[in-house]
Amino acid sequence: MSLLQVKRITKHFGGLTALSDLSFSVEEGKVFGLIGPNGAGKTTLLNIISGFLKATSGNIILQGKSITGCHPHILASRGISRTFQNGQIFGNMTALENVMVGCHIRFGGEFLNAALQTGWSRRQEGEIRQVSVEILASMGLQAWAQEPADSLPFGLQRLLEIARGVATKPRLLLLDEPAAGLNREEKERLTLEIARLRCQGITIILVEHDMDVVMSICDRLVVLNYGQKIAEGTPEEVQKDREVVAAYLGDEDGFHA
Amino acid sequence: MKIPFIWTAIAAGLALLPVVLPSNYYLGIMIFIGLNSLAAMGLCLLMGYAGQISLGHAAFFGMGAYISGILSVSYGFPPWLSVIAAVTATALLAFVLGVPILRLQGYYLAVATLGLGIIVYLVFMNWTSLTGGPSGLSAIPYLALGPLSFNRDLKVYYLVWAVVFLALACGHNIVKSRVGRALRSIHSSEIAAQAMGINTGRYKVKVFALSAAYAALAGGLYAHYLTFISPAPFGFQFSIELLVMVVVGGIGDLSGAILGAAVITLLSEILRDLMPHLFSYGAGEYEIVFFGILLIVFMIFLPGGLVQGLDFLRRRPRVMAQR
Ligand SMILES: Nc1ncnc2c1ncn2[C@@H]1O[C@H](COP(=O)(O)OP(=O)(O)OP(=O)(O)O)[C@@H](O)[C@H]1O
Ligand SMILES: [Mg+2]
Repeated sequence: MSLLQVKRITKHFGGLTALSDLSFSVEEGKVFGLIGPNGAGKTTLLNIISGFLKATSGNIILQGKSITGCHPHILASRGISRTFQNGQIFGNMTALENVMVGCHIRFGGEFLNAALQTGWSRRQEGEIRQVSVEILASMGLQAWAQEPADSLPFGLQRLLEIARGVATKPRLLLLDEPAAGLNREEKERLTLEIARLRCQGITIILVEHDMDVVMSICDRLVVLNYGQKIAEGTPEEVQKDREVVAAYLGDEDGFHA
Repeated sequence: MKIPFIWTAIAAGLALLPVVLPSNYYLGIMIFIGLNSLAAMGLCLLMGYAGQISLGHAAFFGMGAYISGILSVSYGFPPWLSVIAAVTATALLAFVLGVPILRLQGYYLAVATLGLGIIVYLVFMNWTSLTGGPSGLSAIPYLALGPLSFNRDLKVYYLVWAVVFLALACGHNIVKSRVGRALRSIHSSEIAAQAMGINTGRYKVKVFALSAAYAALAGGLYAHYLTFISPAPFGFQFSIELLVMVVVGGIGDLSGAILGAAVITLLSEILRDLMPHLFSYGAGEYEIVFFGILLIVFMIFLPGGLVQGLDFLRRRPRVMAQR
């Protein structure tokens, strides 16, 4: 059974149809690419899957259960985490603290426990720290642990945002253009990290304009144009599709990049 | 928990302070600094950490004072119990009101809390059968613990500052914990916080209730110290003063709230003496103008507040030496 099913999702913004009757399913343990020209509706779809937007109609099914209309924080605890296209790290915290926030749902302790510093809450804190240090190190960011997150170089901020998402222990991780603004070296590092997450069994939906990244890492692709699915298949199949080539013609971020 | 040297020194200094203070007048000011510190710390948890504004916090201070006063005067509750009941009731009410109010953001939240403050003030003024209206509520009993009655400024001074340090320790523990990080994450990016599984709405309401509880605790202690309360001190101006205390002390630092409370309480005491000499009428209005200017100056020149300024001064010799 597939991990996630997108079933006949339609989204209107007033008169604009951002997504129309979109369906596909994502297999567990795969990197699933979602590509398409600017304004195709990719971010809108991620917002719907992660609960930040409600679809006008249609259903989202996670492991056979409908999650349509659930709140983002509920979905996070059900195993869906994400990054944001415009970058949303917590700039008022250190890199390590960012990842520690990512661990939030895996641990307990509310106001009273925290205020009284019970032995239990101190042990929780120790565990949160340990787990976070490990996750940060696995991304090669340990040297930045104590630095303010907004002082990290841009490329590392993107990695940090992924690390923070991984800290929630997601089954499904949604990445919205993680390679945007990265240089070649950083893109290669990102590709390696995504492959490593796949090895850990995390399913990934990758929205990305950079075709080198997409073609080298994705197991399967869906191509959107004006909110409609115009192609689906392996990277090789999609690359040959004439409609896809037409949609990308004149797009400098396209296949020729 | 390891307590830094500076706090041990401050606590020792405060413990010895009454010995050198020339008169009860100054002891009274120190008590007010303590009470304002409590309320400002609560507001700091809400504003500095969770990033939510309140322009009506005087209302919670007043509710603590009035509920505790009324319970002990009209219903014969022992004062310590009425303070606990007042703090609990105020926190619960803030929780319930917080559910709709904290859905709002930015200016809308500011205006809604402002409105809340005004409404509560009007209740103090007009529900005469319960609150005594504009003429206030008198004959509130002193706090007492068994045979120990807090009927002297000196005893109240030690009580209030013990409570301040306890509240500081609890607040400090909270902001350093998982909860504190969740609050700061909401401040930074509410959507990212939600994506991390944080129920941001729930946390905002809870911290609102907690900050109201801090203010109500200060209010309860205030009522049983002065033994008389009237609506006037719990109006809009006090809400603004609390805000100024937080900003002047250092919005992102809980202990800054104490520093801010000290500076603003002393300043407003000095202004009260000074203004009638400078202007022939309307001294109260000049005071709020002065605080408004102070707020703007700090926002522009020292947004991190006095705590950050002091920290900078402390580090400067080392920075110089490195050059
Ligand atoms: N909140 C919104 N209100 C109104 N229109 C919106 C909203 N969000 C997105 N849109 C519109 O929906 C369409 C799809 O936008 P979306 O952001 O999903 O595109 P995208 O595929 O992510 O594009 P890009 O590659 O530029 O990130 C666009 O026309 C956009 O203007
Ligand atoms: Mg997008």
